[in-house]
Amino acid sequence: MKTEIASDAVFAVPDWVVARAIKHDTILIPCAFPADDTENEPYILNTPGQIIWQKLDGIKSLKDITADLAVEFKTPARVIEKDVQEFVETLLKKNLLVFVSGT
Amino acid sequence: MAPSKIKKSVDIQCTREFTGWAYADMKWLSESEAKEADRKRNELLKSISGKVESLFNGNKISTGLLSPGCMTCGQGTWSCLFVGSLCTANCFYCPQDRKTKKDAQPTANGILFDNPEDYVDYLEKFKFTGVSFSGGEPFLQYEKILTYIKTIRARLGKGIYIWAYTNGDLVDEKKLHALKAAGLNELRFDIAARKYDLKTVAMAAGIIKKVSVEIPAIPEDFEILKKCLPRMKAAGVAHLNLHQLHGSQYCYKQFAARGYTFLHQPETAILESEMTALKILHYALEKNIGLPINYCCVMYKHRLQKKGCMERSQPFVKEDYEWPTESGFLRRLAVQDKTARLKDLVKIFCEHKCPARFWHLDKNNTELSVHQSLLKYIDFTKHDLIITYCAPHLAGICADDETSKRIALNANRILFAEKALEYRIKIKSPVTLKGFQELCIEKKNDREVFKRFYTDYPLKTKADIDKMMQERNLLDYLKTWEFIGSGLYDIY
Repeated sequence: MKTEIASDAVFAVPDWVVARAIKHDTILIPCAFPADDTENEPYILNTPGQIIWQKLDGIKSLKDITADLAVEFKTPARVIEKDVQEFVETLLKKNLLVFVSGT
Repeated sequence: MAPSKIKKSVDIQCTREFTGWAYADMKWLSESEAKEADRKRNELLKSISGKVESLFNGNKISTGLLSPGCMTCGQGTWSCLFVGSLCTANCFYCPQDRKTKKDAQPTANGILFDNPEDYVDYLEKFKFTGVSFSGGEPFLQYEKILTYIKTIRARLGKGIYIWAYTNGDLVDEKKLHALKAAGLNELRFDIAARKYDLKTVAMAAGIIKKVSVEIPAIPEDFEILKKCLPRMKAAGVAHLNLHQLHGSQYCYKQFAARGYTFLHQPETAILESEMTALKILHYALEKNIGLPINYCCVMYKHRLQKKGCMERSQPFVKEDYEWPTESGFLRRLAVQDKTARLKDLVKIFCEHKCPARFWHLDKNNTELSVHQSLLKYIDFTKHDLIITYCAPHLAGICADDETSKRIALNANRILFAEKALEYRIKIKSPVTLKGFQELCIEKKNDREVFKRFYTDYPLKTKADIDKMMQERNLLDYLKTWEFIGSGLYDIY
């Protein structure tokens, strides 16, 4: 059963992840050893992903991030919340985020 | 942990070459089957974790102490003399040619030693601390073994551990007493060759100081072996060594007929044999059998015995500008360029008062080999680095007059130390080169090195990501030449 991530959860980019910019893209590369586990492959962020990723600072909760984005993009928070949840789940699966605090 | 991508493809390619046309008749794992097998193995390993000893860089798992003979094997100071090739049994798992009627002369590491005195000179010269006698069935050469043991004891005293293998067919009390008197420390029985019969084992245990059982882990014999464990203990068996079955041109058909799964490893190890060995370890611990059991996997032999062989001959062939790796290979670093530019580099080395033995210009004056300490004087934005790994080895016959080094065992006997080229690669990217230096020379922490590598690797387009990952995989692969692999081998 899929467990939803709590909105008060706070996440951060771990120190084993290197972020590189190529033109307008951001690439996240986990430095786990060895490199060729599928989970350890570089992950290219799309534009919305880059925006969310920049806000995952280890301080703001998902609720805070959603609220920020709702104002920034003049979109209802409930629409953005789903995107943020999905994005965080993907990064967690790929070992590109760590849980900091929250429920 | 996933294997290095390059290592995996090399293993698969080498296995295909090794097995040739037979490859198609053998059973191999699909990706998903390999994952499932890995999961099952991890479960087994978890079930015995904390209750077993993990020795020799995690390459050997044991429920108790190892025989002193096994210790010499792990330390790379064991010599096994194959006294003959004929046998009284015809085991389905035997990796040797059982059809031949012609006996072979005694050899150790492929070198002929038909004279016991020469063999002792060899043992002395290379500082072996353990010697064993194998075959065929060694007791077919019983008198010969006795002579070798007596000669070893007379010249090297008690400081060397001696054991012999047998299937037990020709063992009797008279021979056992004579072997004991000659100085045999241990006798190891392959009871799988005699349907797990322990009569001669018990007889030997009353005479020889240490009696062990050394058998392959045969999947179909799991239940028999389980029942046999307490009987072994009662018969006075000191150790049970469980081997992983591995294919050869002589036994692969029997293995295929039994439905065994071959693994892409050196010597095509058998998956089910490994699982059987681990299940036996688990059972013995659960039932508190109290018999020291160790699992001797194919990769343990490949890694540790090969390392021992290479390190033995290394001092005779190593040039001062080469470097011995932890896994036993000799690593050579070189740059290629026009002669004038290479001579400019030599000038720089001289200015820094580097010893002249730390570099070497080849015959054509186009390749300059350098000691690893000289890399700091080379501008790698202008040069590529060529990395070569060689395997040093000993031979009884000279393969190349120019490069073979002669080693006099005595007034009449000469051996040759040689090195065979194993792998050569040119590194063009300065970032990869820095990664290599940090990983393999400075031995820095992997994560730290790869973080810097990923941060510094030039990325202009998305296509560069693939190039970067290829270079990264190369660094993983280079590590396999530098360091002894740990733990059981990856399943694929």
